[in-house]
Amino acid sequence: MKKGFFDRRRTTCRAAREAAWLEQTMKDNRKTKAQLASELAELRQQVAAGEAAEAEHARGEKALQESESTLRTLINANPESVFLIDTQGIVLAANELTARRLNWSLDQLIGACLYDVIPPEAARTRRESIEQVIRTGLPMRFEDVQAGRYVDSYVHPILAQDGQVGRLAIVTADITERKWAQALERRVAQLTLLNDVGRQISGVRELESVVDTSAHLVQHTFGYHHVALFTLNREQGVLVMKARAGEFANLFPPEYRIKLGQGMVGRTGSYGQTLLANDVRTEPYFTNFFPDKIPTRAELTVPIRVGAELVGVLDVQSRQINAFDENDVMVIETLADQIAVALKNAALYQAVQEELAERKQAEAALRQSQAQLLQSAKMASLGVMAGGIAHELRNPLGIISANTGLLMEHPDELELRGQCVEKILAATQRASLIIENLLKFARPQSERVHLVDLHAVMDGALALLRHQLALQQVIWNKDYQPDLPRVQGTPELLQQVFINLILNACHAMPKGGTLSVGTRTATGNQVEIWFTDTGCGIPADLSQTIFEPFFTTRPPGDGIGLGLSVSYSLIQQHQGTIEVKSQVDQGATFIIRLPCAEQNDA
Amino acid sequence: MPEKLAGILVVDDEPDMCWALENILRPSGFVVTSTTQGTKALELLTNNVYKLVFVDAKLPDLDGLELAAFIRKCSPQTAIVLISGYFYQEDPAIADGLANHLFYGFIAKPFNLDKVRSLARQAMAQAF
Repeated sequence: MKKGFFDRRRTTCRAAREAAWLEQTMKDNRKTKAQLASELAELRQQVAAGEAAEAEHARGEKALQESESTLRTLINANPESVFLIDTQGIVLAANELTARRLNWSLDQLIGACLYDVIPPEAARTRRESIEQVIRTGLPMRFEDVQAGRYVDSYVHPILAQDGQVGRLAIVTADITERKWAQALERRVAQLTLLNDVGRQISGVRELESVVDTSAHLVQHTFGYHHVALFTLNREQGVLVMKARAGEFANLFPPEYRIKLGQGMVGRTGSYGQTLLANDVRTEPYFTNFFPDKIPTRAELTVPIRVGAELVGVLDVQSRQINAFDENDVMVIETLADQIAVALKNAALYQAVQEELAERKQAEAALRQSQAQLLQSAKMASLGVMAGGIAHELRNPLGIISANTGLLMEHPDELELRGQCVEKILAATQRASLIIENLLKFARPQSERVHLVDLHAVMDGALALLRHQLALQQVIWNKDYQPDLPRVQGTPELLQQVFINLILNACHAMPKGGTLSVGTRTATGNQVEIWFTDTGCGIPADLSQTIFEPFFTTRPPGDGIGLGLSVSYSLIQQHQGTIEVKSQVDQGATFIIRLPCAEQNDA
Repeated sequence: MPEKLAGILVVDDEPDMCWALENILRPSGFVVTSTTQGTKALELLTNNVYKLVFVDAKLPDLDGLELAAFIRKCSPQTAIVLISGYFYQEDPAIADGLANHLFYGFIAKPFNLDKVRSLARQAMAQAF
């Protein structure tokens, strides 16, 4: 630094003081020499002290200059604009970036007025903020737009000796990129939310879940501090809070009610229009139901409509002023539409579920009554068969009894005895088989469906009815198509149909006759089973009536008229058809058609 | 006189029942013919004279009661005994048949062997 300058100054100072002293001394001759010596010494001492202080000061100044240089380096190194102004806005100091940003040189900038060097729009808003800092003495941070760039400013007051704000340090940062990134992020969040909500609530089937999911997604995605979903109860003139999400969810009791017209939610409910208050202090309809607890500064209420009908309101609240931009409103409105669709779907689903449950109940009842009908019909056919079965059992019993008698009468005839024993055994087995068939028929049937060989089923039915047929002098023959394709079904049920039709044929031939049964493949991948009798036949006008329940031509006590109607429903149950061809006194042919379960090779 | 005791026809659709009746009656000296078919019985009855016919009430091809009526008509001197597992003694059809002398006796299955033989003996004694 300029060392010589300081030395010269110090010398000049000392000489001046001594000269002044000498002048004073010459004016005042009354002082003694000793006095003079003492004063001189004192003076010299003072001068020395002054010189020491001056040296101290010089050292301090040097340090100050060094620190000033450090600070300058520091503020120039700052990537943001830093400057110092006085209360009038005169720039006292600034870093080079500040000058560069304003397209000024640093020398020009120092001493200029800040409000003259920035664009007039920014100048006005900044002046307001800076004057507020000067008034309050509190630091302040604000954002504004300057020449198309977003600027974040921090104004720090520096107090003067009198405690008033004397100067202000200002740091400004260009946050345009950050702002853009934030806006983009928000837009992405909005679109993602729409997508998520659409996807999630369209999959939700219960009404409660739709509203709950929607409320939570909105709240979570945007961080609004309160989101609530209301549904409209028009009869009671209220909106009922069905879901809520956010910090204040627990403040509201379940099914919290807001009257139509009350607050922004109530107005949207009444008029079906979106209401936006970006600053609730200026919104006359805003009502805070918990003013001490919910610090809402902005609120948006959106109607939820299904078609033209208003069904609810979506309420979104934020603690930020200006929380909702155009896009937010659009997103929340779109969301309300999606919620409406989901609500409609859920309502439809619920209606369908209820209908389904009802139908299931009806079906169960129907199945039960069908099962009862089936059992009644079976018992009725058992009644008809009882005579045949009694005869059927008494024959082997008669043989057993007669052979037992012969055994007792012929203790020594070994050959005869052997024959007797064989005949007893055979008859016992026959009786047992009759009982077994009867039990199989009487037992409630399983409805297990599998591939059924119709010939086996028919043979079973004929075996069971052989004696009934014999009793009634019905001669029967069968005409089976070899390798008949099998059908899908329940053998017990099909056997009951066959038994019903055979008994029916017997009934049509009270004086005996011929029954022919047979099978063949038919067109449309079907099989036909036919039963032809030589009985009394069926008048044409009865050919449909005979399949109605409780239709019977028999006198009371002889059959209850269920056989054919039960057969009809059993065949329907097997996706088949049953029809009758007949002429009075020419007999009748019943034809059953069933779909093949196997490819028809024939 | 064995020939006088001859001439019993058994008509029952059960071959084992025919066999049993044959073995019950033959040791007592009766000559027994049997058939399981109603039509065959008609044929036999046309060509032979039987003192006694045991008829099963239910035959696959003919009604036993009708067969009995036929026998009564074309061979009034033949005694008929109805054997059945289907009817019982008090059945109107049986009671009527007995009252009208359509048949001589009725045997319900299962039956007592001695009853069959004594009924056979009585019927034979009464016939002719």
